[in-house]
Amino acid sequence: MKIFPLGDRALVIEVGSVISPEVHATVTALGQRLRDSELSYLEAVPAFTTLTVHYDPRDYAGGSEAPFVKLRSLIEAEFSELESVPAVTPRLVEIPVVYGGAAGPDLDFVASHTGLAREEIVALHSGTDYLVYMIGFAPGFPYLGGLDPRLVTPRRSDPRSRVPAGSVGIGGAQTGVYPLETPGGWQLIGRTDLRLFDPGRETPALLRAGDRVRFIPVGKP
Amino acid sequence: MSLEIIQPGLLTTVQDAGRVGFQDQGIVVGGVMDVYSYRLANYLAQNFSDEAVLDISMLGPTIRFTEDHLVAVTGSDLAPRIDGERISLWKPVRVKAQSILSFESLGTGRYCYLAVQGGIKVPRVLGSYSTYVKAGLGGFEGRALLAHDVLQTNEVRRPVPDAYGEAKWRMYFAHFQDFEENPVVRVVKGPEWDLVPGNHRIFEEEFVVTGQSDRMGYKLQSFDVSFPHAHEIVSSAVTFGTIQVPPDGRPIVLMADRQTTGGYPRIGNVISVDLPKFAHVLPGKKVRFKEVRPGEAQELLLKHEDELLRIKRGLQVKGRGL
Repeated sequence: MKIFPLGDRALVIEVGSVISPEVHATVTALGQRLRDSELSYLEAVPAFTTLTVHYDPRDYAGGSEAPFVKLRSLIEAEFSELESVPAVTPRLVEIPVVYGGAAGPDLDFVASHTGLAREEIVALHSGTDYLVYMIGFAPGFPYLGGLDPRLVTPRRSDPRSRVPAGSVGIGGAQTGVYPLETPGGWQLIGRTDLRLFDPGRETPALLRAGDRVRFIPVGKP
Repeated sequence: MSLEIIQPGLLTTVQDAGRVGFQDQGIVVGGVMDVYSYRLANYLAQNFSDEAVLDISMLGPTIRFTEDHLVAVTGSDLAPRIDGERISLWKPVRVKAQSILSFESLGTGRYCYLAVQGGIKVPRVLGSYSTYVKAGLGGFEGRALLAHDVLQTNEVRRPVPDAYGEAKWRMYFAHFQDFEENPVVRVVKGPEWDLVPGNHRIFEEEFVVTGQSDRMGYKLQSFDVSFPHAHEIVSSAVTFGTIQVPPDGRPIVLMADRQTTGGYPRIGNVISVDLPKFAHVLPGKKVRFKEVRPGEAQELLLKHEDELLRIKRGLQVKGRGL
């Protein structure tokens, strides 16, 4: 575990260097341990290999050591044995998707690029569970792991200026869902009615790091 | 009590200190660009908690006050006037019903703050009044202000004022109101400092803040140096003032509306106490960076917080006479 300052109000805790379900589990466990601890902080942001703790230096002021040194020591002391953390049972979130047609205008491009039939693409994309590694880039946007290598398709050379919210896309080796209408360059293969981001909900983001996601085909491609 | 927007200026939004606690859901913090001017505007308008204010960018709005109001303007001096008469920044000002606030010119900085006693009345969304335009979130209808908008303000107990106009006294906020056009800004090294070729030159060269600079981030350019590289890092968290170096080698300093995470090397971070100073650098103006140690940055931060607390208490006492 390596800890370094990000500016003067955050510490980055790095628990690994590669993207893997094991490193992810450690990040998740660390987040859980932090929530259960007595340490004072503003928020903790999990990413692929890191947990970043945003804090108020005033909570660690006084004495001869700088606040970041104090908090770093406390974290090191508190979380030295992460292996002993019980695994968190993941939630499985099902996302109904209409594949192809107006909902997925790039399905044919993905078919021609991959050499797969449209039905095969749908079967491969919906036939596996994905791991939500982290939420970032946009409110509620999940970084998913587990795309079948046969579905890897480069991004569009001409990104769309408007991608509708709920669009399901493939961008390189990644797949995901656009939570908001934004510009975007991914190949759109379908769309869901589920709202991945709704500020009216108590928890606005539908998904959180650690969830499992399964796409459920609705209707015929 | 309300504020009628006659014309909105370039980009005027309702903001507070930001939306904290939802970054793990990808929700940006947002909030004011210059947090010290924001807090002082509130204190001067006798708001001692984080009330919503107007965050005014470069060209100011024109606003009619429907009733008597205690207001304060801080930040960059955009030459505010009440009914055509110049008023001071950094002072409480009593305005009469139906008077009109306008801003006459560009300032040496970018952002100006208008606080009204009681605060702008908008619903709290996810714990904050701040507007995040890209997601249509918070503030006034999730967007920048437009002509004919009418903003309500929170009720306050209002004694009949003895006089209109500026307070007769002035407080000095030396650390918080000095916006140089071409400042030296202090930076601590970032987690990927070692990954960026020629990294030390960031502390040796002068950088121009380009026109590609907005609430999300400021893109920098130098004639003498860039840091092209082929490193992508595994996406990780960023924060206000994080200096990212994308593959084109031209650094971006992340500002209030930054995303929560990023995939470019983090060469450094502007320190908290210098963020307002940096936020005020206009496009085309220059900035130099100076390295400080994280401990030093935090010492400065704590000192500024002490000073703000002292000012806050002073203005609470002064306010009794307003």
